[in-house]
Amino acid sequence: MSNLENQLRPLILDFGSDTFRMGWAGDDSPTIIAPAVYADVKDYLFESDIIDGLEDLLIEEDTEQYLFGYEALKYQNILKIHEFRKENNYTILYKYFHYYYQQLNISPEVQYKQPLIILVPFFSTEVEKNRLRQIFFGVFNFPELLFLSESQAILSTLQKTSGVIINIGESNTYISTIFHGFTNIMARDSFPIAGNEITNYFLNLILTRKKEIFLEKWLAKEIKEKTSLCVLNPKEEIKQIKKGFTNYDQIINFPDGNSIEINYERFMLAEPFFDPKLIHIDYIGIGEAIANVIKSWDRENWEELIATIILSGGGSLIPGLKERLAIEMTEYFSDKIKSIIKIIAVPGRENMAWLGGSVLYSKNKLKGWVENPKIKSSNEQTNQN
Amino acid sequence: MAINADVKNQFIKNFQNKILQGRQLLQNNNHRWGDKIFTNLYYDIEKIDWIEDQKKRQFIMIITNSWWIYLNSLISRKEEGAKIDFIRYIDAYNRFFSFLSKLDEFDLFSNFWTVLLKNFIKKKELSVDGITKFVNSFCTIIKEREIFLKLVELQIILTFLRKSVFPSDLFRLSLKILGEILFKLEPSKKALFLFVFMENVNIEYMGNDPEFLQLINKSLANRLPNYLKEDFANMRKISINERNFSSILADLEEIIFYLNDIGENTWIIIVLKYLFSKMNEFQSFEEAVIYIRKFIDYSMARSQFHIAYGIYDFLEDIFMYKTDLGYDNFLIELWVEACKKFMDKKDNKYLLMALEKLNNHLKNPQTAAQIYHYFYTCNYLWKFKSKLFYLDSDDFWRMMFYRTLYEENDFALAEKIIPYLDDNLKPHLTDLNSLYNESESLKSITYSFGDEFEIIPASSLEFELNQMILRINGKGLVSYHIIVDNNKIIEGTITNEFWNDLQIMDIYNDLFSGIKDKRYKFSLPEFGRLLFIFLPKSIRNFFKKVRISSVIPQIYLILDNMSIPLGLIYDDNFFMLKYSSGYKIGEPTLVQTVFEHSFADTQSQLDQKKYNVLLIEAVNASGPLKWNEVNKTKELIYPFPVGTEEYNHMANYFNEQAEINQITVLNGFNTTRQKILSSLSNDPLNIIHIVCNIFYSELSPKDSYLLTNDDDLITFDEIKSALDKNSSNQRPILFFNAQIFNIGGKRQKNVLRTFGEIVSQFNYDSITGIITRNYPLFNHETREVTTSFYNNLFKNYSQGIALLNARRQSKSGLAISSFLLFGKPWKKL
Repeated sequence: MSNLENQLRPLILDFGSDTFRMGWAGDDSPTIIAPAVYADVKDYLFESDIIDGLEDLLIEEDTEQYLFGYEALKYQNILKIHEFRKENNYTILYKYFHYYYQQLNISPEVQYKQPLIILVPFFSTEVEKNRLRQIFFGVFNFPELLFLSESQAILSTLQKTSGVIINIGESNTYISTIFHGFTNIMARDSFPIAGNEITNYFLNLILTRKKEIFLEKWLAKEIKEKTSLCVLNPKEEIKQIKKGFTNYDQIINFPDGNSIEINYERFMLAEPFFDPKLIHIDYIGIGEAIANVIKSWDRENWEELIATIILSGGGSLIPGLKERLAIEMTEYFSDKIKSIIKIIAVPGRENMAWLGGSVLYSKNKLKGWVENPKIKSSNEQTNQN
Repeated sequence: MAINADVKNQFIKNFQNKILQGRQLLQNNNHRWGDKIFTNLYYDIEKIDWIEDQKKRQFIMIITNSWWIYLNSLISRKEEGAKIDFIRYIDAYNRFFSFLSKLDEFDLFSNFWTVLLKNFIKKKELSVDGITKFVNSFCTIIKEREIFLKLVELQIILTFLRKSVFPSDLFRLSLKILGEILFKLEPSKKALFLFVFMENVNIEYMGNDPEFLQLINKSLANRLPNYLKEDFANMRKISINERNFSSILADLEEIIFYLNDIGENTWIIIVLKYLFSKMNEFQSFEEAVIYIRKFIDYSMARSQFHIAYGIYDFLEDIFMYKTDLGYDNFLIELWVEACKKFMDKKDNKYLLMALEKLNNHLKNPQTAAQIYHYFYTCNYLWKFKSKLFYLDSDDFWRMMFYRTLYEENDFALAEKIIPYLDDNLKPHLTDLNSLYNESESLKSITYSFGDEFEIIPASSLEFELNQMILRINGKGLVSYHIIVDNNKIIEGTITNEFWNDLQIMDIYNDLFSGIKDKRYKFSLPEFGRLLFIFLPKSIRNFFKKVRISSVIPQIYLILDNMSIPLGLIYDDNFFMLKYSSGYKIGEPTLVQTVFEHSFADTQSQLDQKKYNVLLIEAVNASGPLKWNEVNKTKELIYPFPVGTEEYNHMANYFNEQAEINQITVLNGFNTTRQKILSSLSNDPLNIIHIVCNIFYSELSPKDSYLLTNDDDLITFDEIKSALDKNSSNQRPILFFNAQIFNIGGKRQKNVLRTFGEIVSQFNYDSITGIITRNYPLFNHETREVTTSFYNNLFKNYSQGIALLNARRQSKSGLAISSFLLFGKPWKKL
């Protein structure tokens, strides 16, 4: 393939609420993986009412107003960091995409000529899809667009046609099932706890231990990613800790030289998955929720489904989650079939959906492309002429 | 205050770590945490009560500098070719300003803000919106703090930068302020003053932009309120050149004195700055400096310390501009002089500020001459700081090194002190002999304040010490009472240095502790020697002259805080241990204290007593004057018509009394500073009755003053010194028939406290007492109380009884309560 042809391959986009992924269909991993955040250069964390006007005096007019992704995170201790997916801010989404699209170094003659594959969860609404169509067709004028279900994509990476997909993201967790390529709108669920809730709960736990600490969410998230665990029996572990068991102890140093020691917080943070009431959410635990989803299918299909429970998404990276989930699941199935419960958690599962899209493209299994109506009509016009 | 040295060291170590950590965080783009560290550090410093003010200031300056260094590093990256990271720059400045706004000291905030403003002014293109917000947000703060002069200046600058008026309350207020000051000036001076004001703003902020006045006039043209239109129109006609400068100079000087008279002192500095720049332009730099310096004393005498400080600061700027960055004797001496002037004031604010300036300049001496100058100044620095109970071992060792090497020529001991000095000094201190030899020729030409004195005059070389009492009170004031040659009594107080023995204590504790690994390597005689060298020079010189022959001297050391075994003082002749003993006496108890009784003398004794009176009238009936814009005339600023009546009454009264031997009257144009001081210090006086206006200085009560009729002033400190000089030993009574103002010219209603502060410094053993008026009530009845008091005094009642009797004889409650007596009530005339 020539370079130009190479650059005409479809682009797969995953607008996660935490992470944005973009890359060429057929590749092994996304070319761009960036935090889905932005910052406004005039929107400071520290709002001083003492002396005014510095921004007007110092920021030149041609300065970009927004910073995106890592560029924005560089200023996480100066500017307010916004998450445009959580804000549903499509104006920023458009600018954000444009910013990273430029980083792909695409030759000018083929710019905006690629077909786009956009990964969407099952609960994504028509309104949302329309907004995306407006942006990519209307504003950028891309030729073709395909909305690909994340569950389908995830399943395809494992070369399976049936399975339960549990995708734990930053702001959404969903459980969906596919049986021999078919979906069942009854057999899926949007679980109310995701990475975001876990971070908040972790923050609470730390602040309960040491009230005078100054800790913001970004830092808590970072600590969470480094220290989190999931244990099989948290009550027992807490008892052990009280007896003097120190294996969980970890000292966290803060930038100002303060430090705290945490232990049970490291695994307690995952507990809301199994008991949402801990964070005052009236819902069943994730094990039961998965079981309910599976049980929405006919009895004879259960065995096939519980043998392929796939964990994916950044929120599923907590070590031990897989094992714990397996135990939780056993409560809801009979002795006969509980032995075949199998949770699959592959490494690199945070990029699983994107990779699935790439795999499907390679196998030529993508269906449902929509042509850009503007181009379509102009083509028709040309043809008529 | 004894605070464990470990606690202190721990604190300082922690402070240093946090500063480093904070700086690192800022450099790593982590403003949030860096800022948090610095802010918390500041709160910690403020919370701790064992840190002295001076030290606190130093700590705060370190934090401030950390921000400043960081801000400059962001800019300097630009010079290396990179773009300034404006996000960081703006955020850092916002946080820095917020930090500065928390500090008590507004000057720091103001200075840093002004620096940034001047940087903006240099920019080619300026956001009009931005500069307006920038200036007005700061103006809001200074308005709250009532720094009106700067407010007006900034509004003018803003108008200039915008090329149009930004109509706001701040702008209207600033025009109103300008209008108010012009309203107080007489017509012929208004336009000139306005001109000077505008030009000064131009020089200060715009670096003398030739189009400044023209543009300001244009921008303000339709925005001026009626009351300013005429003055601005007249201002346009003024031009100052070499030919008319001498007449302008006279006019401006008049404005300065006038502004002072009407209590508008803050405006003086701008006239002075302007005069300086013009003198520099038309005459010479030296003349300009000499000219402006004379206003330092002028404002010091009037307790206008902010002006004096402002002039020093201004001179510093000018000298800095003229010299390179090396060791600069000139700048150092400038600030030493300032410290000396501010040292004996009650309020330490200006001393602290001047000390900091001095510290900034006093570093890195290179040549032998500079090294001598450096240590010589360090000795002064110690004296200044000793008042503050300021405890820095570096200061201590520099002072000790000076005294050891240059005053006591003790090379061996000086050698042992070197390890405790700063590392960067050590390479220069290899050959002490040659250092000392080179200093010999410098001693006569190095600056001095003439504040060293000899307890025993140089003429009397031989004397025998009978007894010496050295008293060190809780404030560190050292006074002595010495008997020599059997009956000669010498008394005095050391005024240029305070007792501050924390470092000596530290060495002593180290020396006598059981610790094997001692921090200080001194033997016992060496410690005694250090202790001796630590004494003020006058006392050291006195000890050197003592010759022990037949009489064994008794030396008593009386300390409020018994801390140091002064008996260990070793001065090569004798350990004082042999002759001395120390005491702690504390406060005397009032229980069972018996006051002296007073009995009326017999008639024959009374007949023999005749008194000398000095009657002074200083009611300022002919000036100073101020312009009254409403009546278009000049009128008295401090009218005191009843004062004249009081004076006439007392003059008649004293003339009629048979007990009066001689009466000296100073009134009208005779009441000059010179005549009053001469009479106070020379005439044998029993009664000093003064009718006058008194001006109370809150920052330094002893420098409160009265205005003489020749438009000069005499401070109470001067009255006291004049009386101390008087050798007639008559112990006069002083009667102040006065109304009291503050130095801003505002009349004080109740003066119980303020007058107490004014006269607290008097030596009540060398005078009988002081009577003053509690509030300004002057009428027939109060006059009767006054005369009745004197009548009783002449009957040889004690002053307390005399006042009591006078009060009993009057029927008006108000009148009798308006008299206050300071001094020992049982004393008689």
